[in-house]
This record gives sequence, C-alpha cells and structure tokens, in this order.
Amino acid sequence: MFECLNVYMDELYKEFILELNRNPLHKKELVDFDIEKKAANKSCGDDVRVRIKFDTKGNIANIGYQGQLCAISQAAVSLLLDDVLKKNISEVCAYDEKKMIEIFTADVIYTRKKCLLIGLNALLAAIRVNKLL
Amino acid sequence: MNNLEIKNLHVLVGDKEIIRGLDLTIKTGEVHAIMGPNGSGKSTLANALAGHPKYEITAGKIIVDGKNLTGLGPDKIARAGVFLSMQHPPEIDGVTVNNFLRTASETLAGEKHNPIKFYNSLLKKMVELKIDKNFSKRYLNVGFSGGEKKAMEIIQLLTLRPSYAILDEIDSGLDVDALKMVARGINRFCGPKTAVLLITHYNRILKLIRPDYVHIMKAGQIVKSGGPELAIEVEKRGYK
Repeated sequence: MFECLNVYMDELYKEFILELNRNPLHKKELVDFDIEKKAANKSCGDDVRVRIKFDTKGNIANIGYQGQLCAISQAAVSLLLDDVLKKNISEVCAYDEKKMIEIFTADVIYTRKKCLLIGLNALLAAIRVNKLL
Repeated sequence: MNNLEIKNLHVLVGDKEIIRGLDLTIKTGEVHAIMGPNGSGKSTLANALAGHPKYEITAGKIIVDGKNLTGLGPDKIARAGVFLSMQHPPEIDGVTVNNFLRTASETLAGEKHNPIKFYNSLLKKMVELKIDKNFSKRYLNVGFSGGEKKAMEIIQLLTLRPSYAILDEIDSGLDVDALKMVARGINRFCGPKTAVLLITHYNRILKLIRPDYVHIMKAGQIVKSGGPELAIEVEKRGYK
C-alpha cells in the first residue's frame, strides 16, 4: 500500500492512514437518515454507501458510511465525513478534489485519486440526486 | 466534593512500611508542594496514589471526588482523573510520542479521535511550550535528554487534562530554560477545576509555581504544613 502513496508523504501520515484503516471514523449503520448514496470504484472493487441526516436548517446532523474499502479510501472517507459533520449542505456541495486533498492533508499519486475521491463522489451524488440544492 | 483525600494511608514496599499514616486533602484549584529529605517517602506516596502494583496499601483510603480508589489499578485511577508524572519515565522504543499520546487520550475519553485533528492540536501545544515539532515523531523517551523527558511529561499533562496532577520531582536535573518551560506548562494546567501535588527538593520551582500549601514529609508522615514561606525556611535551614 505504501509504495502507492506520495513519496513525500510524512511518516506520520502513514501512521494516520493505518490508524484510520483500523479504526475508521463514522463507519456506522445510520438507521435514521434522510438521504443515502452509493459509489464504487469498479476497477478495484471498492464500494461505499453514505447516509446523511439533516437538521431543519440543512446542517448535517449525523452521517455514517458502510463499505468495502482500501486503506486510503477508508482514511479519506473517515476524514471527509468528520469534516462535513455539523456543516451546512450549501458549504459541502462546493467541495472538490482540491478540498479533499486539504482534508486528507496530503496528495496521492494519480492511480490512487479514485481512492481519495470515492467518499466525496458518494456525498456529492447524494446531494445532487436528491435535488437538495 | 471535588477533592483528593488521603486518609491515614499506610504503604508497604517489600516488607518495609514507608508511608505511616499520612493524611492530606487536596481541593481543586489548589497547588500543594511536598518537600522532605531523601527517603522520607515522597515518591512512594506518588506511586501509591497512582496505583503502582509494587506499593501495597495496607491501611487507609484514597478518595477522589467522593469515589474510593484504594487498591484499584493505575488505569482505573487514571480514568478517575489522577495523573502521575514519573520521576524516571520509561523509554518505549517503536511507539511515537504522537501515537502514545493519542492512544492514551482515546483510552481516557472512551472514543476515537480524528488523528489529524489530534496531531494538529498537539503541534499547537508544542509551539506554545516552544518545543521542536519533530519531537512528536520520536519514540517515547528513547534517547531523550533529562529536559526532554520532563517536557514529554508536561505535554502529557496538557493533553490528557487530568483533574489531579501528581508531579514527582519534575524539576530535578533541569537547566534554567527547561525549568521555565516546565513551569509554564504547569501554570497553564492550573485552574479552578484542577489541582497539583508537586513533589520537589528545591524552592526554585516554587518561585515559578506559587503553591497554596507546602508540606514537609518525614519518615512517611506529614510533619509540618504551611504556606510558601515554609519552603523558604527549608531552603535556609534544611529539615533539621
């Protein structure tokens, strides 16, 4: 897994990815939710399902995911969901690859971009498909 | 009832009784200093309070916030809000400072932290204490200088945020700058909801961290208690 990471990546970030792979954040079955969306990376078999619960003002009140994911995907989804929790949907829908790199605190090489973005794709698709904005 | 009460404590090390009926109550918001000659039982008291298995409590009670902690293991005592800064912290190879602190913090909180947020908050604390940020990547206490080991204890204190901090000779062997750093950290920790029990040989740290009470320990008991002036008296005249 490591050889795929950015060679400039700090030792500590490797530790973070391993830690989040072992103990992901917000990996839970949300029973009470408003929208859900799946995303998959067909070439590697990773898949994720994100569920979101909003409050009356359009803030993300609760969020959870389930899925079969590689270490980088798992870490990226964990950090993304941790970042968007309590934020307003209008803010979250503007998230892009640049924002995702910022949340992940490191870039990944081209072949792992899909891993970095799988969670964001599910999240943005959930907002789009449900025509929330 | 926010206090740490030590009632008639007796502690045995091996077959020798070191603490012989010690009474002390520390309320939150207070700083207590314990001074005393070598072998008077200061470190034994600190270790017994933290639940070190080598120190056998044969009589008396340790009560924290109304909860009896006597005889419990160090993990349970730590969860109750008691922290011990060891006189000689152990070296643990292969475990980074960052990893150690996060794991300890998660265990006390009973939930996982976002490792990146945790790391950033750790870096912030280190900058405030003027400690090099590469410190967080080193293995716990391995190859640390005396000053660095004590800096590590202070970072632990500020990260784990206990209610009661027992600091066993945190000032021993420190140069002037390291002593100031340690004092800065302890003063940051002090507040209305926290208490400090500072074990020391020297009045110099008590000039930087002003204690509310100073106790003199001899032969396993507190023989005299007073204000900061007691430490000055000890410095001048010794324990005789």
